[in-house]
Amino acid sequence: MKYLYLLSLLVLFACGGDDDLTPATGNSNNEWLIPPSQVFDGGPGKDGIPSVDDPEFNNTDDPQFLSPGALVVGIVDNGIAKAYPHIILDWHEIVNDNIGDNNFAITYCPLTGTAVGWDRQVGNRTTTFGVSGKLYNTNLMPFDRETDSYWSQLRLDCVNGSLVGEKINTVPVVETTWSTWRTCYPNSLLMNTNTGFSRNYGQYPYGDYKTNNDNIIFPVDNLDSRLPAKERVLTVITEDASKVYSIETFDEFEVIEDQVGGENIVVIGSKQQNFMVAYKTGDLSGFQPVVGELPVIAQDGTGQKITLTGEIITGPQAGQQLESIESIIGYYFAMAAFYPEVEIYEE
Amino acid sequence: MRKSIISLLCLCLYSYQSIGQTCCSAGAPLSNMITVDNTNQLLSFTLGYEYKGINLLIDNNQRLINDPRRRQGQNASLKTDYLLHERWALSATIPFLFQSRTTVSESESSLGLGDISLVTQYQVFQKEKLAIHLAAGLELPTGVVNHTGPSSIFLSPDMQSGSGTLDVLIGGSLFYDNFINSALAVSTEVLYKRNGTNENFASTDNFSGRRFGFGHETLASIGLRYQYVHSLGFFFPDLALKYRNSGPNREQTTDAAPNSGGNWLSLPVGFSFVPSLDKSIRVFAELPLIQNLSGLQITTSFTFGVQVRYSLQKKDNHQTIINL
Repeated sequence: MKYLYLLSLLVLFACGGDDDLTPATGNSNNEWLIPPSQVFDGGPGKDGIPSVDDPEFNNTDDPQFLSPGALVVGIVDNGIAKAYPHIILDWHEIVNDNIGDNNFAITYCPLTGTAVGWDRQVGNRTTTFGVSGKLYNTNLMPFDRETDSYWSQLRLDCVNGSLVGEKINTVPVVETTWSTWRTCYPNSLLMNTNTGFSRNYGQYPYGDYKTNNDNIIFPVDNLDSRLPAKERVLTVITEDASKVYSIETFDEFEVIEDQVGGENIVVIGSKQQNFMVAYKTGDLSGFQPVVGELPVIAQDGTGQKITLTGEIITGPQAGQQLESIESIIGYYFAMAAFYPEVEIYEE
Repeated sequence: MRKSIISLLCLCLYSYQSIGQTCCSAGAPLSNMITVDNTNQLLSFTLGYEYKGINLLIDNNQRLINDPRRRQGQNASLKTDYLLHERWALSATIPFLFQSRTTVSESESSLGLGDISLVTQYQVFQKEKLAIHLAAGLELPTGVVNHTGPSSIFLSPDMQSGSGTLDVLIGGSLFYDNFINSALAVSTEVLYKRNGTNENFASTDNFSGRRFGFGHETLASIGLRYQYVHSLGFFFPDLALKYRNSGPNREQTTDAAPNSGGNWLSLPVGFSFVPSLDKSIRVFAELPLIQNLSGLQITTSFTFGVQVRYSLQKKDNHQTIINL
């Protein structure tokens, strides 16, 4: 009997836990815009994958931790360019940052290969986003720390919590190699590995996931086999339609004038330089690729030159910007899961 | 006579040694008593409690710091051993598990019945110094697998109390008494656990669920046990080296999920007190030595526990002891 007593004491003692963390209450709102049965707990828990909220940057030609061919997510605002390496995003998934008054988050899902810039101004509040540890269609679900609402990275809206139904405003980003980005923006700042966390940056944490088309860890709605699951595609998304452009479509430099959901767009890409971007054409037409003049990647029929980030730098409209259109680079299977009616561009 | 009694106790305590059970992934299985009591006790009951801190973040073989998570697993179990025959014994273990995961933003936990294991053991050989046993059994899908967290989302498989699968266990053990000197015994154990795959994890009325299976496991250990006789009873400090290998988990479309499986080497230590043949208590701890894991995993940082055992002895126990 005394042994049982001792055992009980031990159990009670241990149940007190070793936690030196004091968690917030958490969101217990059960209203979802998506089927909650298809939202999966990825394992690490909410904030178990830590976002970087105080990123540090360098201006360097030769970062020791990053190879020239490594992918970065780039943003340009008010003449300031910043680049966020995939090898850091693989481990943190969200970087909360700003350029001047422009507060944004770089959200990146390693399981769908998608990087999207999110405006951190939600309603009348400026928030930061964290990694919820939940996945929908195997895609990142950020949560905002102001209201504890859950969002879907690829649906671009709030799916649970007090902001349910709200759309997120995106911030245009470009995904390309460090080499291409640095050529385009020699003064670009590069996020460095001083994140406050010890991680093996440079070591991809998901094995052969990037290239193994048979490796999809969580259920997805619509496993579409028209393209290989992990084919890297640019998806242009409008209210009524969506269309994907495979990186394989673009050889050295290619320009595609196309229409998606009634919008006239131009898609410019290069497999060699490893970028794909899409813009609304506005009143411009007759686009041609421009090779060897980065950051210029194309010109219109009148010879006005256009940069990687859509800026017109010569001609009568110099200084103006091509209007951006929602477009996201990622693995094909994820785009087909979120946009089941997606059209595939064919030459 | 006295030597024989000590031999019996060594066997008894040897059977206390955990040889593992996967109730939890992320490289942190909750071990449990699945070996059958190989003494000649007719019926015995063992109440066990085990605590695991799961707070080491390892990337392959490198420890990372600043992990914002705290994990723990606790396992309370009742094990019943029944001697069917001189050579055959049967064991059933009923576990209850409590697991928690805490970050700066949320705390989630689960508490429930785990997977009940049924193991039978056959005494292949037993002479004065040497005993060899083989064991085989099943782990039944009795555990709770529908724990949910805030917002009613299913917790991940490693946070569930059960696996939802029928698992197969096979193993063997060897015990050698009077090793080097009369106070020392050596034991070794091997166990293989083939885990099933749950094709409908987290299923609901309108969703067929998700495929998941824990990696198959192999455990091997070798240990030394010292005996000390005192007027209060018998004392047995012990020390072992335990190796564990786990294959990758199976998820949705892949049989080799990233960041799962690997190799662990740990150091279990224990101390037993046996005031009489029908009662004993054991406290134990386990410290990790080497982890060589596949990818990034959070894994066990320490384990401690206690086991209390009460036996109903055979009527011809005296004879049994003499025959040992």
